Amino acid sequence: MATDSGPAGSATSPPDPPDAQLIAATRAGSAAAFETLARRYYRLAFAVALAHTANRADAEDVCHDAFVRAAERLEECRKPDRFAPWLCTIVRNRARNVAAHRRVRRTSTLEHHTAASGDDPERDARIGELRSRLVAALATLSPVQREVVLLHDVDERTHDEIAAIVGTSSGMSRQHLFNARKKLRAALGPYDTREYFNE
Amino acid sequence: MNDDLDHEPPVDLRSLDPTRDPARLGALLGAITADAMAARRARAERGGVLVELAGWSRPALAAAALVLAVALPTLWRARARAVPAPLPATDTMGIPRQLALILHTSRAPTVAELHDAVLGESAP
Repeated sequence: MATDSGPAGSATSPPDPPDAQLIAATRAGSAAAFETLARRYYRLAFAVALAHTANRADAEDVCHDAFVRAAERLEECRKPDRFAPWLCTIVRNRARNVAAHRRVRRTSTLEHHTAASGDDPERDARIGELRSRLVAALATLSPVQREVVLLHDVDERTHDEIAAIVGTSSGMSRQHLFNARKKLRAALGPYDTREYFNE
Repeated sequence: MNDDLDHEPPVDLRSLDPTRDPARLGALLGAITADAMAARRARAERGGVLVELAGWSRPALAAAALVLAVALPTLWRARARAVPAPLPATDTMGIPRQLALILHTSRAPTVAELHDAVLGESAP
């Protein structure tokens, strides 16, 4: 799980190659550079998108659209060292639009569909059920609590990084994480989210 | 306080991690990159057309400015000629012109002149 040492690519351990170099190469037409950038920030973007859509399929669509839009407007990213917060703003805006347009379109069946890998149908079904429970539990949180808990516990961001991305203080990030975990545990009840990963 | 906040144990959210399935992630990133680079190319082409239009618009604007500079003095003079002379105050007030002429003379008018001045123009 997450520690406050931060993931590779965080402010505490500069990624290699640096974002600025990848951005410059993308501007010069390098698809490989952009793919590296997208791979580096996909989980971050997904966490933010999921926090606002509460739906994995929608979060994937939002990430796709947001990365394409970011690529299209890469010249507008004037501070390449602040690429992650800039990208998250695009993701958040897209996710809010999608969430607003999706109020009547609940796609629980799609959740199961996207979870399946085809190798082990029984395991896929269990993971699909687990994901559905987690997404339902996440829905009991506020958007900022969802964003903080997903950034910390899925993308392994530090509180300082989360504060910069969400636009709050490090102390408030801790507070949101504490409340989010408590509410998640209450929503999940006795359901153990770890049982399927101890195989 | 922060120590207390850190004591809430995490819920395992790993199943939501999109990078756990490398094959699916690779496919997603491939699709994103293809669309992203296509979008960049399309934007560059749109930008090229705009630059071309901007290139044509500059000489067109310069020619329009030249025509305007030549036309302005002529238009100004024509406008100045078209301005009518101001009407005398007696005309504005509706005083018959003959009566006004009598008022401007120093001698006393005859009854016939006054009759003509006041009623003459409207008399049958």
